[in-house]
Amino acid sequence: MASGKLAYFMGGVVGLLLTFSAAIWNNYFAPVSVYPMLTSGSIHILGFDKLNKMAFFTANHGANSYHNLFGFQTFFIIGILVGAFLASLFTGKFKISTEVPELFKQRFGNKRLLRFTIAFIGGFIMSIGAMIASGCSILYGISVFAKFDAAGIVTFIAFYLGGILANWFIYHKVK
Amino acid sequence: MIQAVAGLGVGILVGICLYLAKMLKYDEQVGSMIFKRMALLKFYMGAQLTSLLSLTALRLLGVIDVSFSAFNWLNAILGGLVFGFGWGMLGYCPGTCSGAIGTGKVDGIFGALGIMVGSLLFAVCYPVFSSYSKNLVVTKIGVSDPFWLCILSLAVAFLYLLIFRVFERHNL
Repeated sequence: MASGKLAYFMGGVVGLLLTFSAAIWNNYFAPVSVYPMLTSGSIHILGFDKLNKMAFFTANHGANSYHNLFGFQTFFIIGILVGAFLASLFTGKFKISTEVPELFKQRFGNKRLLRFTIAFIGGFIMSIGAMIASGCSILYGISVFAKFDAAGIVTFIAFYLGGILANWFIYHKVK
Repeated sequence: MIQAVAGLGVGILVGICLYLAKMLKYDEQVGSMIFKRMALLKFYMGAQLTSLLSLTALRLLGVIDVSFSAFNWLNAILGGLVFGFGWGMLGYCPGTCSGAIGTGKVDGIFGALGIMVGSLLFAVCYPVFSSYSKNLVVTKIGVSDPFWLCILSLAVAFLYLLIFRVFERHNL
């Protein structure tokens, strides 16, 4: 199957997996919800437990606290990591890589430190946005959208527009 | 325990799908945001179409009941734009960031660290955010009526197939 068509097909399979997961275990996909719990867990391990008493970690029965770490969403995100690892291993393409992506190279050259810095800042900004909107692209773009819920459509469009805006700033000078 | 095993199993399958669809590549994700190739939208729209149709079928058969998300327009749009801006810079969303790490990409680790530090900063600012959000009107909008579920499902399927055709015609 051509790689372009594979994107439709694999997306379709993920959509069916979502319905299966919702019907059997009443769980939708919400990967971003794991990161605050990981933050809370890291704070605990590093011995700064005072920070875990902040309202964000105690609100909603501690939904963002490390106490809820061992649930569906955490293992779902670990599963994504394992699945991607296995798929890249069996296709012979697994490689620990610090290489700069091709598009990034065209714009900035082969600057690894710059790529890592932008990746960190991007993750930081994305996290703030996810907390304000209460979810991520997979949650709103697939899980909420599938219910014919307006929140999914509105937020996913805003996500995509934000991405277009960021990359217009970064790449508009590249021909 | 069952939830953990279920999450792991489904996650592994999703990870394999994301890898095969090339969704764990910066160039594919960002490429869709600069309209050079549309793999990201193809993937999302494929997932939206099958999940929407299958979930709607189960809802109509009475197998599953759904609840709609309470949201306010300001936080949805503002948070969405901020999230998207970060997504565009990182080149992975939170789920695909984990997958990218699984394929050995070191930039994914920096992205994940950024997400964790961002959630810590948000935790510090949470009382301010929480008190300002209290004043915003929260709404729930969704389709529950069986007639409209059928009509809108068909309309979305038709619209998406038209968009897919445009993608293929222009080799996107």
